[in-house]
Amino acid sequence: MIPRMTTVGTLKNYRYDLNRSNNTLGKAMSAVTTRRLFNSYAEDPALATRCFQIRHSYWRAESQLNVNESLRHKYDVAWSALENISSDLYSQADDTSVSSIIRSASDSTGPGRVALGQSLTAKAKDIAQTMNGRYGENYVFAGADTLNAPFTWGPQVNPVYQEGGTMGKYLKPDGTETNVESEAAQGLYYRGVAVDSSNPPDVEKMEYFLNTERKDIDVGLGHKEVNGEVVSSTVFDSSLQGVYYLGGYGTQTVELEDGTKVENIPTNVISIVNELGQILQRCDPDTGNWQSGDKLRFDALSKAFEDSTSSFRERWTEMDTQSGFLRDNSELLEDTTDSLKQQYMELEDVDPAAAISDFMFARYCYDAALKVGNSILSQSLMDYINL
Amino acid sequence: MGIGTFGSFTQARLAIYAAQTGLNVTGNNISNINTPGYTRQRLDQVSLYTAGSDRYYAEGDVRTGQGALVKSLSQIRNPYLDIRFRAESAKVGYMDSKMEGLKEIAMILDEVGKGDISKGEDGFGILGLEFNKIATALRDLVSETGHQEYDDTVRQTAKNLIAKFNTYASKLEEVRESTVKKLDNEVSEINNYLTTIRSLNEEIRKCDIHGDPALELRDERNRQIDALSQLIDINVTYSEEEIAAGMKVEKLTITLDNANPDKSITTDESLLVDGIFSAQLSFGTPELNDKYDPNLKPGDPGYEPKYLKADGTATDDLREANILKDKENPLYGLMISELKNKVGDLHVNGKTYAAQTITQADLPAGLAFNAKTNQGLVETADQPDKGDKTITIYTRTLKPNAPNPPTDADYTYTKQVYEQILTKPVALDDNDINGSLQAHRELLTEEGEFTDLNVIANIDEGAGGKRGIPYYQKTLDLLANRFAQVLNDANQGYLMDPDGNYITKGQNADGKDIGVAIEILPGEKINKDWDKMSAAAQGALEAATGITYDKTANGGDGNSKEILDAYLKANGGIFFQGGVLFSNNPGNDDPSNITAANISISNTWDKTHLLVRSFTCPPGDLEPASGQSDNLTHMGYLLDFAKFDYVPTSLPGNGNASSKPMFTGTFFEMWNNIGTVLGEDQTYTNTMLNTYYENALAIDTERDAVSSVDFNDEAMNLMMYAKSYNAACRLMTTIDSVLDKLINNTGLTT
Repeated sequence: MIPRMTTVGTLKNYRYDLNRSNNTLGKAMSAVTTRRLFNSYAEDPALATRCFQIRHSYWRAESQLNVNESLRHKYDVAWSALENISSDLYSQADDTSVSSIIRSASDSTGPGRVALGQSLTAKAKDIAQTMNGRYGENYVFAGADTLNAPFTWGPQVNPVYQEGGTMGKYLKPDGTETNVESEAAQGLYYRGVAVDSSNPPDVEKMEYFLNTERKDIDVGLGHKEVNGEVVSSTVFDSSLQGVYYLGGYGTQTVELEDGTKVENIPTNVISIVNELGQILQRCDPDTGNWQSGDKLRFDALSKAFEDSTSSFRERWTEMDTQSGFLRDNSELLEDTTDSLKQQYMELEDVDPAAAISDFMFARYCYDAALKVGNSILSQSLMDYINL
Repeated sequence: MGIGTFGSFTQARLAIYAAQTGLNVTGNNISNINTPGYTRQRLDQVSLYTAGSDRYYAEGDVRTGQGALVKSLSQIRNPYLDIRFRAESAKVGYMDSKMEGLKEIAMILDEVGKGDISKGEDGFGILGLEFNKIATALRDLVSETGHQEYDDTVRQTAKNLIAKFNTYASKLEEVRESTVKKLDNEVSEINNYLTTIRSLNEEIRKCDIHGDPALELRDERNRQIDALSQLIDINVTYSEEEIAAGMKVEKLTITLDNANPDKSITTDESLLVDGIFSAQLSFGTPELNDKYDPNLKPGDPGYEPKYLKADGTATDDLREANILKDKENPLYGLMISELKNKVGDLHVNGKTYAAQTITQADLPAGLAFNAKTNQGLVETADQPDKGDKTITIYTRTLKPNAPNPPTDADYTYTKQVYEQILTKPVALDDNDINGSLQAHRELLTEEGEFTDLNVIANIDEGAGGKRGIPYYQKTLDLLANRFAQVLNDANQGYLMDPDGNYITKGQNADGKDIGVAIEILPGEKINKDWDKMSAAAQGALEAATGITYDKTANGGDGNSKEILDAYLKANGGIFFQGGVLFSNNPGNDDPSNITAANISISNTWDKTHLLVRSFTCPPGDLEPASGQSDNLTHMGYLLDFAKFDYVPTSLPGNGNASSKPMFTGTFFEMWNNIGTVLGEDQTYTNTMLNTYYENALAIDTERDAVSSVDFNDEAMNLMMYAKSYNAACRLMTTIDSVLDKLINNTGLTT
């Protein structure tokens, strides 16, 4: 039997179909106007979840890129500072470089030595000043103590002083010991610790600065922690310990060409330059004669200075490598952000051609549905009945 | 005998009358084509034929009918389609209301495509984006440690995040409250339908008695039943009720439609309407007796009644039980009242058992027979005070040829048992209903993984997989709570040396203050890492704090932190750093019971710079380096990378929920998961809704095919009855003409 299609039933079905057609049109219109394939989790939960994760990764990568860029600039500043210091210390072409001054100090006249000594002391101060340079509001070479100038001048410690011992704690400008702080010559301090000190607490601190202290930054290396401890390879250690680039801390024994060994020679190049300056300034201003024992020490310091060249350059190169890593990382992060953006756009964004043609088709269907409705409402046997 | 001379006029008159009535019925159908629930009517006419023998039989006499008789009007309905439609309608109602509820939740929690378009953040979400922003702010603070403006930025992003938490929690609560109102309204609506159907039953019954088919009333009743079926699943049956000797009228009965999957439960078939009696629904749940054992029956040793009265004594009668309402009825339990008629009489359901032949020995002792009726009656009150009773009627019949007067042995005996069951209220089980009402109940009560295990064991074993508004509220609470707890923990601790030994203030040889490791025993330092300490130090710590180390505590992390914190707090831990970042109220620093609704920036953090950049001091120092940021980096890790278990029991007030993690992931992943679960729920519900709706529409179309008005049909009827009318008039003219010939012109001669 053919099902009886009634006016009421036909209208009811038509109403449902028209509503559905309108709904399809609305969705197609929404796709065109929002340019998105979906606008709720419900439309495609798996895809929406994926897109949110990708957007989250994108946001994170962008933030890491910003931090990395900031770090890169900090390293650029640090690299430039070391370049200046390199020139100040080792330039052969520059008459005012420490190297040239030391070379000329050996054969200069008496007054000339004192002047050269003053010049070296000023150089030491200049280098320390350069190392106290800032990027933004942070001291570049201060390790993790970025709010405080890392290099300061204080009473020159006696390198052989030991806590509880009988020796004087400080050295006077003439090189003799004293326990009176105000009598002491000026010596270099790094983050409050005398650079030339051999006192165990000072050494422990210096060792901590150079070997243990880190200032870890997440620059997109897969930041990870195990049992609450950060995995060092997954973050970037941004602490630049100024003392490290200038030869380190403590003292050394220098063996001269004739086999003479001179002890307690500073390791740090600023301390070397500073002491060279002090020795030259102690020379007789008229004759240029050395104070007792100063010539031997001057030679040892000069040799230590010469030896520091390669170490300085090595560490400078090391920084260059780190700087290069940050540059590469910036590129990588840029690629990552571009790729992630591309990925979420591909997943979320509609193909305009498809969206518009879908919309046109939906509108065509809706218009057709309206026309059908008009026919349903107007046509029946009632319109033709003739009694 | 055939039709009489003037009977032909009657025949024509009946034809005209039938055609006229047909036209009226057609007109009525056309008029009501848009009337909701209208069922097309049909004129039932029969050929009039007077039966019976003539007084004198004449061979060759041809008997013809005497015209058309309009017998009645009837509706064209298919009850089977009504049953199918109403069953489907309940499913549509359930899914439709559930979908509506989920959409309201999604309007709050679904952030797909949302975001500030002016900042290019559209598509990044709102609350989800705040997690990104706080991680970014922390990352910036790591680079710029010690500069308070960056510290402030972290605090501000945290404020923004918790403002979103608070807003979403508040909006979810609004949805919950509006759903409570909807539920209340629906119960009122159902009660109105039940009352209206009962009233219509009364009217139809009256009409039945008077022989009126009451088609319009039936239409209205069907419409009410259809509407009711969307709110609650029902089973509708029609039967005949004897109201007087030999007189029967139709009785409509509506019961719940056996929705509960537990076949042992019968409350899901409770009566709602029985003829002129109807019940009402209300919220309430009887107070249960903890000692009740469902495996025991009344009379069994140790049996305890099921309910408790208000005075605390036990009872099995629901009418005496203490009914818990409002906050004491958190599952929005429903009760069905006693069935009453318009004037408040209680409904009595009778059951008649088949008559049995018995012997004299089977008669109860002392039974007296009425001498006139020969019947003896025994009434047993099963529960006299409640009205239930069993009536047994014994009938005796005298055997043939019995002596006079007869003895008891001269009779045969039969026994007929009648049961009268008085209507009683019913407490519905959690799954006894379906339809829109149940959807709203589930939206208000279902907690998914947060469901109390007792509820799963005793009320609804599938409750763990059902998620309503409380689930989403609690999931959001759990996320906020875990977030606050993790960051609060990370921001509190004691200063340490680089080896992880907790420090206190000491002095060096020069008398200067320095940081030195705390020793619990000579030479035994207290280290943050439990395993790095000697057994002696560990034992001393346990003894000092009274807490025993448990490696398995805190999900396998151990309880060393509790021991260390307790010891340091009590013994020289002067270098406590940081404090609570998030509290349960902006005016305090109380981190307990934090939810999405109350999470706040702590009072102290709001006024000071509380973020701890590091707990590690350089050797001998009393504070961390000025730019040290290892703790901030750690917090960044916790925010952006660390995966946590989200365990329902860890949310305050959910101690008896599942202790298994409902999700493991980062904070952002957890937030994303809330949206995913909601999206999956919506997708499933939408699919089912479409399926059920299509089915309902198909069935409704079938119903329309049978019952609704069609213009073409009615146009045909118009033509048919118009032609019939014309023909009947023509018949009358013809008869008139014939009789005129017969009467006026026959036999006359000129």
